[in-house]
Amino acid sequence: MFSFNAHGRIRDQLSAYIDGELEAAAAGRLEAHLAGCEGCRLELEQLRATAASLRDLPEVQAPRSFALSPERAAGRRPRAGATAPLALGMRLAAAGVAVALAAVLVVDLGGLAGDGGSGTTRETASDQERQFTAPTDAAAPDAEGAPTPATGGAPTAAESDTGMPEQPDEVQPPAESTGDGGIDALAAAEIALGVTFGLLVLGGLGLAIAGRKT
Amino acid sequence: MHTDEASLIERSRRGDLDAFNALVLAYQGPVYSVCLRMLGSPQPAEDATQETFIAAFRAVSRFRRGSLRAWLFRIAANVCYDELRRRRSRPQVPLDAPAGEQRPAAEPASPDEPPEERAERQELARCLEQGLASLPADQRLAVILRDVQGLAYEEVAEATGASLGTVKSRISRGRAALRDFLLARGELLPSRFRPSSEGP
Repeated sequence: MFSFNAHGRIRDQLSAYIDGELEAAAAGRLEAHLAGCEGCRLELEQLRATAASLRDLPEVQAPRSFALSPERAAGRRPRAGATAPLALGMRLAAAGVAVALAAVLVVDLGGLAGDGGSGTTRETASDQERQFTAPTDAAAPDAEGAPTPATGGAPTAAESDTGMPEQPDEVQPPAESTGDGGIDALAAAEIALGVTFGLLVLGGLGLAIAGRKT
Repeated sequence: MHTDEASLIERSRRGDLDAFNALVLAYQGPVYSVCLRMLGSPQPAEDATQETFIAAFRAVSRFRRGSLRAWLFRIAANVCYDELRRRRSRPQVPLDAPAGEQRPAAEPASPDEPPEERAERQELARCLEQGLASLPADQRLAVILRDVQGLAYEEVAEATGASLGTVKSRISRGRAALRDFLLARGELLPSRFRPSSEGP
């Protein structure tokens, strides 16, 4: 007669036994138990059938090619000079031109000759550039094919090699992220850079206008 | 590791995009398959797959040893977890179709297979996909990697960032839950596996 706990321990080990992942001593104990326990033998066969059915699932084909274009590859590589240099440059230029045009309108209508282009503005631009080039590749595991443990996927005290106590197993996202925050920060830095660039252009235009008026 | 693959990895690490894309073509099916089963519908799975390979190209210079497919699955899993987390934090965004409804399509019919057997097999596959979708994400990922993709336990541990003991636990609980899911739906397992003669 086996205790309920004995059956529970054995059943927790059945999957590993099916896959040959149980140590020899534990496998021997399990086989001895199975010899006298019809219920656990049935459970073993059910789990075997389940695993076999999963292996027989139809293979999924990729719906299209996911090969990277040179632009996409270059645009996403931090070492290639920040992130997405071409698209970024165009967006920066557009933002700068928009701000500059608005500023010219204001200056022209108000008859003001601003003296922009201060050193403070330049330092701000420099700071923004440093922030912008921060790496955002947090989705990829760390170097040498040895990914860092994830917070959510990390082993918990309640799980172990032999015993498998019940515990909630909800979605536990890993600590690593694909850099959403980085993308938001990127967008903010991009806007700030655009505005700063615009202000610099404004300063130059202001000086030019002032020089012409004098 | 296969010699050709090792060579492609080495060239990829030096920035050779053609070499990297050869790896993409070799692994895009399995990566897409994992993303599809983790996320439940094609478009998010495509986005996750593309994001996986972009992140992989960005990081491949730091890949030196180990299983490339486990490394790629690790990145894909992180991308999928991020997407699942986004869905939880934005419940107003319509979720995917109910579990299993947009799951992987059935394979083409084999001319030698009797129609009844084919229908039964497709029904079992559909039910398995639904059962997989019902599992907690960690168990789902472990079972997909082990039983569908055929990874060794060590590779599953590598791909999930979990210990071997945790992997064993997740596979065990995931399979048991799937077994219960199938049994609850009746005829999908042979009658001798049904719980009528369940022991203590």
